[in-house]
Amino acid sequence: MRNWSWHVFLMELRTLIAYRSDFWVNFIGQTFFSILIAYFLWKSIFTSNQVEVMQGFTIQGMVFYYLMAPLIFRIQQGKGIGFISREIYDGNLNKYLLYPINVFRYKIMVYLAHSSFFLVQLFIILFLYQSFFYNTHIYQFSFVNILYFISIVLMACLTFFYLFSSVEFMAFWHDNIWSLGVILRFFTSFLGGALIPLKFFPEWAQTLVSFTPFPYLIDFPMQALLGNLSFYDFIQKIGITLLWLLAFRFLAIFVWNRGKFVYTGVGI
Amino acid sequence: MMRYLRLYLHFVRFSFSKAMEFRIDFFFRVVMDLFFYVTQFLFFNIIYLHTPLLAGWNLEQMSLFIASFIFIDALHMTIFATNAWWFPIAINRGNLDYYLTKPVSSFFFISLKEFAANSMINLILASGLLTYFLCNYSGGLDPGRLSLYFIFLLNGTVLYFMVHIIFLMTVFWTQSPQGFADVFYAAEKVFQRPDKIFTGYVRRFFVYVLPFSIMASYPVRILFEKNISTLVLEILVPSCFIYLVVFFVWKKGLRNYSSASS
Repeated sequence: MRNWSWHVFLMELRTLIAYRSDFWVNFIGQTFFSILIAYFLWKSIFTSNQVEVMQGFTIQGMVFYYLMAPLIFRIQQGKGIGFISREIYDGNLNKYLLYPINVFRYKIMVYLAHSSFFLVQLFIILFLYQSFFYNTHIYQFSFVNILYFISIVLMACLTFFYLFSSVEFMAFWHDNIWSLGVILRFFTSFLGGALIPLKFFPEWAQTLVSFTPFPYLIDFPMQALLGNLSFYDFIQKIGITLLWLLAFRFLAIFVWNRGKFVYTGVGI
Repeated sequence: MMRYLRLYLHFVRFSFSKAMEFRIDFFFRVVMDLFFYVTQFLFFNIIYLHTPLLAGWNLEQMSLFIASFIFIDALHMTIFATNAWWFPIAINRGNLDYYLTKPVSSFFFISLKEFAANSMINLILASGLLTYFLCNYSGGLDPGRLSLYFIFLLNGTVLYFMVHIIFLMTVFWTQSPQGFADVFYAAEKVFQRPDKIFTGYVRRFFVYVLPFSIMASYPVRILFEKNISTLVLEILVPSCFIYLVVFFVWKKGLRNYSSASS
């Protein structure tokens, strides 16, 4: 990794932690409400069915799932919608084209800085959970699982980065494409399992979803964290994620190469 | 009053010409909201694959509830959402000066200036969905209760915006509203869940303090339940409380506002 890439990463992190109160309000508030809503919704379902386990989840397991899934989702989202399209729209992309830097590498470092920020939030919550609500049936700390998790998350982040970039580059042709980013977000959240665990989907839907990249972005890291992956599963699924990553990288570079020739650099 | 109405019609006209500038975005916004609606129906339909009842409601009643909060969402997206989006930016950049110097209420200006023409298509779709579920409801609906239900859905839309504004108004003091805005987006999911899933203090909190439960869930309960006087009271009291809080915090915030780069 070249030196400037590391500087970009650190500078973005510094910008992120400049608003510390935002960090804590966001962190505590989001975690609190996500858990609260998930707990009451699923408690109501478990009570109404008079069961203790549904699709392999206990109510505590479900709470843990909803504690982690939104955070994994946010790790994938990186800087969020508009991280390239807004600069195309404003004409700010000019600076990246003039400087002797690789635009993709620059954007990846910025993106990963945001992802790391949310990864830290996830580890803080995991640490607190481990310290106060430790339950071996739901989550058991293991270096191997954490190692699996980090490598999967990194791979999933890069996959989503390239997928997201391909959509953001549409701004070369259509100026304002914010809504396209939101559509991609709906897909990722729902088909990735952030909204409801994929195990609750009907069998045919689970099979269908497994042919898309979305389960590899949220459900796969989640399974690694829960320790549900054997070494064979890990190798098999990370191989599939790698294929998706290469496919989206190819797509993003293709769209970029087409798009930069229609870019006027004038902005609004 | 007529002056405000005329002004609002101008806002709507400008918004339509602005929306037509970005036709592709116009189209994708319609698709985006459609995806949101489909996701909501799928979410609850998947849940109902594993349970016959949720919060005492069967799938038919739940579908009516989903259509109700989708209607509120569409109405909010059309009238208020863009204004809420620009609200903290206007304060941060000092653009509020522009509204303060006009001979109309600055709150009226900042809340209603941006009308989302593209979301209006979705409002038509959401209204169609709601009509479909109301017409096909097998239990039969009383016209009097139906009128109350619609009045409280409109109240729910305004209330949703007001609660959002309370979170955003923190920008007057914190300079960046991002943290609080994100908390709002995490908390607002409560309005997309039936209130009866919550119990104890949490339930009271979502009725009286952050009244997300009274926005869509309570109006739907008015259609199904026998005794509605308590429900009506529980909608009116927190609503008035929130409107007063917004009025009070807005006044305080303006006193704290120091123009550009506030």
